[in-house]
This record gives sequence, structure tokens and C-alpha cells, in this order.
Amino acid sequence: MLVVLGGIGRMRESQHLESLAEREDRVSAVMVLDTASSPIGLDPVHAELVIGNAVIGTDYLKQWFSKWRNLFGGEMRAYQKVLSRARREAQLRMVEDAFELGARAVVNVRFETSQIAMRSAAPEVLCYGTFVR
Amino acid sequence: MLIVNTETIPGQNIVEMKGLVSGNTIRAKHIGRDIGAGLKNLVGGELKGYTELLSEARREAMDRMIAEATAMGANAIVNVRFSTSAIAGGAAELYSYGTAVVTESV
Repeated sequence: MLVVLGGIGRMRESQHLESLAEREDRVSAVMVLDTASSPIGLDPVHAELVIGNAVIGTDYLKQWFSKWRNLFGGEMRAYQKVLSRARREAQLRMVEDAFELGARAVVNVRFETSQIAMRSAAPEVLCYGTFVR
Repeated sequence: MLIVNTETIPGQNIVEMKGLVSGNTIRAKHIGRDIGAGLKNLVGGELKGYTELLSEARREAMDRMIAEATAMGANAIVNVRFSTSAIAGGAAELYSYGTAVVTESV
């Protein structure tokens, strides 16, 4: 049972990574910066807040392995992967919004991670910034 | 209402600072969504119910912040920040704050 859940989880993970890469390509023209100033040479006339978020959990098999990992210490790869996927997804949603609005760059980007109340690990990642055009 | 998370707004001059404005909301999860999310959590992947719930709640916190700024006579909010925290009883607080200002086009 655990292995089946783990298998489904792995499949869903690779599907997600594929879709991320594809969608990131589509909006790659939008520059993303965490500085407050716009890229050199861009003289913006309009600016507005854009937000993206994602709550992504890991599968039961990995949660189970992570419980063991927790006894001995060391890096928890399962959660590391899940968080980086959530962060990429949140950033991408923000950039996609900006892209639709004709953005040339998103500046002053900030990330925030929080554990919404639930026993299992499904953290929320929030990404926000100001798009300029 | 113009909202940015930078200190300045391109194409606009800040002529008056009105002060700090904020908005918050505390949301409890819906039991149906919780059960759905619990099942979803077995196979991993995005918990869409939670993503939507949090983004709606954040929108609500922002709307309250905007209402406060409007009442102060501001037409823009700069340097907006967000904060999320899980509080007791399975609920989450979404908080949004920024500085209400009056701007004029350059």
C-alpha cells in the first residue's frame, strides 16, 4: 500500500516538474528581481502588486521515511523537494499573472513559508512582488 | 487604489504619507476540505482546496487594508507586506499591512 502511494506520488511529482519547466519557459521574458529598483534600461510607467501561492504536500511513503529520518538527523530530501516545488509554483503563478498584465519585470520579490495547521507536512509558500511595465 | 510592495511608485510622486494601514482575517478550515486534503495528502501533490482558501482569505485581509486606506483619504498603499501564522484550533491568520499614501502623477 505504502509503495503504491509512493509510486503515485513520484508520478505526480514528475508531472508537476514537467509542467513547471514548460510554463516557466513561456514567461521567461519577464525578469524577476528581489531588488526594489527596476532593471537598468527599463523606465517603468506602471507598477502593481502581484501574488502567487501554493500548498503542496508530499506522499505518504515519503512522510513515513521522513519519520525515520527524523530519528537519526540529516537532510530531509522529501520535504526539501516539496518545498522547492511549492516555491517554484508560487513564483510561477505570480509571474504568469504579471505576464498577462504585460509586465516586463517583477521587482522586490519576497517569499514567505508557513505551516498551516495540519499534522502532515503541507506548507504554504507565498510569493509576492511588484510588476513593472 | 494603487498597491505596490516597493517604497516608490514609478510615474507617481508621493505627496503625503497617511500612515500604517493593515487588515487581517482568521480562517478556520472547512471539514469537507480537510478530509479531502487528508486524502490528497496520501499521494502527495497540490492541496488545491487549501491554496484557494488561503488566497481568498489573503484577498479579504487586503480588502480590509484597502478600506482603511480609503477611509484615510489615500489613493495608494506602498511597501505592502504579508504575514501568515497558524494559530490554535486549526485556524490560520492572514495579515497584510502597508503605508497609505497620497500620490500624484508626475
